[in-house]
Amino acid sequence: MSASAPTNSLSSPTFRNLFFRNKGASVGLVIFLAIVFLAVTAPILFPFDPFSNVGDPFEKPFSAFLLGTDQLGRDVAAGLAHGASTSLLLALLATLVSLFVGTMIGCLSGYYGGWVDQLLMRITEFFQTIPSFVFAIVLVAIMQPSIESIVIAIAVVTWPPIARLVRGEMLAIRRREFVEACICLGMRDAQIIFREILPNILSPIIVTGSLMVATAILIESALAFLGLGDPNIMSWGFMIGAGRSFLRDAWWLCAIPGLAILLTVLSINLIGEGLNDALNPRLRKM
Amino acid sequence: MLKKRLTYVLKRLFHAIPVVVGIALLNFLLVHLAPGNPADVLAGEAGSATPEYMAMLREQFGLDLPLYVRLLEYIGNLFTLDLGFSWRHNMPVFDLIVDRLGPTLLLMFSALLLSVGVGILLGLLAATQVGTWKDTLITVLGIVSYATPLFWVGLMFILVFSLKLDWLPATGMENIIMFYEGWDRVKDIALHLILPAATLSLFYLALYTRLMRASILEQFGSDYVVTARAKGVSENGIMFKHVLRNALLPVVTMAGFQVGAMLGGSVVVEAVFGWPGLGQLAFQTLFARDYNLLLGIFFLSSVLVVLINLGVDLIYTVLDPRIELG
Repeated sequence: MSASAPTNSLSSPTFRNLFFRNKGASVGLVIFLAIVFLAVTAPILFPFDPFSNVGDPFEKPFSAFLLGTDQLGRDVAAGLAHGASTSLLLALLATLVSLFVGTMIGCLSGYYGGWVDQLLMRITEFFQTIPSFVFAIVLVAIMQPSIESIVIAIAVVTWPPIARLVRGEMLAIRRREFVEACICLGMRDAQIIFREILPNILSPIIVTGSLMVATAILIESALAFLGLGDPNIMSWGFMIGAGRSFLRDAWWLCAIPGLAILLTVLSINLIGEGLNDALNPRLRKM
Repeated sequence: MLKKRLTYVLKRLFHAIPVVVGIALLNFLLVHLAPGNPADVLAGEAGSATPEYMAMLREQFGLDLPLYVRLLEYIGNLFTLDLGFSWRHNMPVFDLIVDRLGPTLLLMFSALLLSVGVGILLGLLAATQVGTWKDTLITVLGIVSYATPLFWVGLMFILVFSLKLDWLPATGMENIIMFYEGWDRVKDIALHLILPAATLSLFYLALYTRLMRASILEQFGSDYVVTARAKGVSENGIMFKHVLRNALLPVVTMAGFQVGAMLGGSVVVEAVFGWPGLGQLAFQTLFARDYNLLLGIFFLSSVLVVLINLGVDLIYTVLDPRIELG
C-alpha cells in the first residue's frame, strides 16, 4: 500500500473530463471567469474612485452610462466592477481562514481522539448551535466594520462544517495500515497528519471549500446591505442597501448588483458541483 | 416508556446547560470587546463631561469593579433574565426583546411551515417524475434559489408585488391607522405576512425540496420497497404508506436544525420589510450602537435555538421509535 498519492489529482486528464461532463459546471466556470475578468480589469475600465459622482443622478441604464447612475450620480457599472473584486477577495480570504481553522481542529480531533476529540467537538457543536448570521452581525458590529472584521466574522461562523468533515475523514484513515507504518517509522505526528493523511482527504475539503466561497459572498453581501460593510470599499451589498430607498423610481440600483451576486454565487455553486463530480466520483449523485 | 422519555428529556436538558453557560461567557467576552463603554458613549453625547461625572457614570454602570466580579454578576443576571438596560430605549433589554419576540416567531413559523410544506410537495413531485422536464425545472429553480441573496429577493418582491402591481403591502406588520379588530386584523396581518414569509422561506424551500427528492429516491432503493412491490402493493400505496413516512425524517431533522439559520435570515428579511420583530430591533441597534441590546438579542436568540433543537430531538423520538432513548 502506497503511503499517499490521492487517486485523482487536479492535473489528470480524467479530472478535466469528469468536470466538463457536468454541463452546469462548464457554464459556471464561464460565468465565474467573466466575473473574475471584470474584477481584475476594474481599475483599468473604471480608473476612478467608484464613490465619486461622475454624472447626473438617476440616469437610466443604457443612456449616458451603461448601467445608469445612482442618487448621487455615481456610476453603477463602476461600482459593480469594483464591487466584484471586493466580494471575491473578501470571500476568498474568509474561506481560506475558515478552511485553515476547520482543518486544524478537524485534524487534531480526528487524529488524537479521546478527550481532545470530545472537547473540540463540543466546541464545534457550540459554534453550530448559535445562530450564525446573528453572531456574524454581532462580531462585525463590535469589532467595527472593516475588511479584517468581516473576514474574521465570516470565518468564525463557517468553520464548524469543515472541522466535522475533516474529523470524519481523519477517523476513517487514522486506522489504515499506512498510518501505522508511518508511526512505526518513527514519524512525528505533525508529519503524519500533514504530509501523509491530509493529501488523501484533500478532495472533499476542496469541494466543500469551493461551496463555502459562495456562502461567504452571501454573508458578506448581507452584512454590507445591513450597513456593516467596510465604509471605504465599494461592495454589491452596500449598493443595494443604498439604492433601496429609491426602489420605485430607480429599480436598477438594487436589481443590477443583486443579479451580480446571484450570478457569482450560482457560478461558484455550479463549479463546486463539477468539482464534486470530478474529485469524488464515488459520491456522485444519481 | 413514558419514564424513559422523561429521563431522555432531562438528559437533553442537562446537556443544554453547558451550551447556555458557554453562550453567556461568549456574551460577556463580546461586551468587553465592544468599543466605548456606555459611560463613554453617554458622556460623549452629553458634550461636556467632567472627570467627576465620568466617575459617577462608571460607578453607576459598575465599570469600576474587578473583572471576575462583573463576570459572576453578569452570568447571575442572565440567569434571572436580567439582560441589562438599553440606554437608548430607556427600557430593560429583556422587556424590549419580549415585545418583539411575537412578530419574529410568527414570521419564522410561517416561513418554516411554508418551506417544509411546499418543499415536501415539490420534492415528491420531482422524485415521482425523475428525469422529466418537471424534475429538471424544479432542480433548476432550486439551484437559483440557493444562490439568491434573501434581502434582494425581498426587495424585488416589493418592487413587483407592491410598487408595480400594488397587490400586497410593502412594509410593516399591520395597518395601524386603520384600527382593525378581530378577523379584519388577522386578515390585515396575514396580508402583510405573505411577502416576508415567502422571502424567508425561499432558500429553505429549495433545500427541503432537494432533500425530499434525494430522500425519496434513496428509500425507493431499499429492500422493504421490493418486498411491498412483490406482495402486490400499488406504486401509490408504496409511496404514501411506506416511503413517504421514512423519507420525511431527514427533512424534519434538517428543518429543526435550520431554525438557527432562519433566525439569522429573519434579521435581514425584517430589515427589508420593516417587520417589527427581533431582527428589526437588531438592525436598529447597529446605527444606535446599542451593544447591550444587540448582545441581549444574541443571547436570547441563541437560547431560543437551543430550546428549539431540544424540541426537535423530542419530536424526532416520536417520529422514529428506533432512536434509542437510553
